[in-house]
Amino acid sequence: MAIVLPKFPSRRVSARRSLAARTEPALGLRLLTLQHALEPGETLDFEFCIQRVSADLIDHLEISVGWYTEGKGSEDRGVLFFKSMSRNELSQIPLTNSHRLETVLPSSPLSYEGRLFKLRWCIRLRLFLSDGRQISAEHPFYLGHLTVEV
Amino acid sequence: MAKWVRLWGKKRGTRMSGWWVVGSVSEAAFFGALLLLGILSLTTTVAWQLFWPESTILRIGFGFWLMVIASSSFIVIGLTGFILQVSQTLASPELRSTLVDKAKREHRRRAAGVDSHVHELHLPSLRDLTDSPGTRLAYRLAHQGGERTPMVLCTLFATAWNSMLTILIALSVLNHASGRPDWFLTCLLVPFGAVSYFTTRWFFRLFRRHAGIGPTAVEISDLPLFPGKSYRLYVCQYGRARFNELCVRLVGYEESTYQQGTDLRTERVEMARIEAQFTAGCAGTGDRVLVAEPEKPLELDCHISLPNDMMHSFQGQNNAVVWKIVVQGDAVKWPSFCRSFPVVVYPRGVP
Repeated sequence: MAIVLPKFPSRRVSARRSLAARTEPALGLRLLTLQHALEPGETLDFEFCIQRVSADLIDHLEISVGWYTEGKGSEDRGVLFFKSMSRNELSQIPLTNSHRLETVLPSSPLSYEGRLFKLRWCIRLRLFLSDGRQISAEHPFYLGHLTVEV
Repeated sequence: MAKWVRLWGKKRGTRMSGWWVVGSVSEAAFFGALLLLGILSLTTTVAWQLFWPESTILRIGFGFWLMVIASSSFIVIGLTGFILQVSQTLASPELRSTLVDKAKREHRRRAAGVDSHVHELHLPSLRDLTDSPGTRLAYRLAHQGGERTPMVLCTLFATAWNSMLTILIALSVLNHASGRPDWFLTCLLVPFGAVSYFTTRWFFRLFRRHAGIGPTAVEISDLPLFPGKSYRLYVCQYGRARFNELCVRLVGYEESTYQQGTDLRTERVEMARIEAQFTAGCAGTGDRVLVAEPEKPLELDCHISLPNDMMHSFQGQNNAVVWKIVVQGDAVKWPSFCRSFPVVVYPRGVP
């Protein structure tokens, strides 16, 4: 389970700041398959939960499965699965419970680690709060079984 | 958030070094101001003519139309930039990507005949590769040019420079013959002659490389290529040449495009190389001499086996993986040459 917590500074923080940090929302994201390397055509099962925040403080939540490139070139991005949940939708479900989603993985593009760029797949949650803040969590996974070089 | 808000930051390509809020607000403000300026100047220019047609300021003519065009361009640039900036700030990258994909799908649905599933999988299209049937094997591959552009540019430059030099020589000779020698022009002919010599030499070198060794034709048994499978290749080398070595291989390249300042640069590196094996009894095997004659071109049969764990072709907006059949030769008395023929490798499971 990938849980995103606020980053605590190395130096001592005030009690007020410490309290604020403790009440920061946390996102939980978990892959339900045993291995993190999946084959094309396989079903990607995952679940998420939101903790330490009530639904009325949330503007909306975005859940996506997609790939992105990183490296020397400008970033390319592709989205396989995208779901946006509004405050009303979120208020009807218990947020701290795990919510399961699934999608079928495509045959391309496969995860790749090259010299100029890397192609990575991940599940990403973006929580948009009513006060304008945004919290995100991502869980990487590997599509296919390519080596770095042939 | 940063401890101290940095008001000034550098924009490196599409990335900003400063606080993103300041950068985004500043860019939106800039484009908004440009839009307002455009609207204001266009309104003023047109309204002036409507309400005071007898006025001498901004009368309909060259200046008026120039103002209209400039103001309209300000409006278009300002509006586009402002909308893009606002959409980038308000929508997450995933939402923008989903909207773009949806719009592309809709466009492809309307444009009949486009293989949309291939585009959705970010694979290059086969359409340009399979339109030429081969004589021995299924498809004849198209040669990727790259030698022609320098040849054309060199020809143009050499022709223009030598023409100019001929005219200057003629003028200089006429001046000397008429008893009024122009020594400055005569001295100028020396460096101009040197440039002409090197240009002409460069032209003949390129011409020799281009025309000396004849064209190369490559045919392949099937397309697209799939990892883990074997394919037959037929290479035919025309012209008159005797080769010390001739290699046929499948080469993969990574290509990345990025912004550096205001420049758009593309970098390419070779990431994989798979050698083709010559078929037994073919001219390329053993110690047999590789000779191409005008009446009897050099014909080579070979096959290539693709490993299971190779990366497929990938076509992103800024990044790509491309595969090419490369024929590289070292000919006697001729400069070495390298010719490439693009192919497409699809991952398994793609119809």
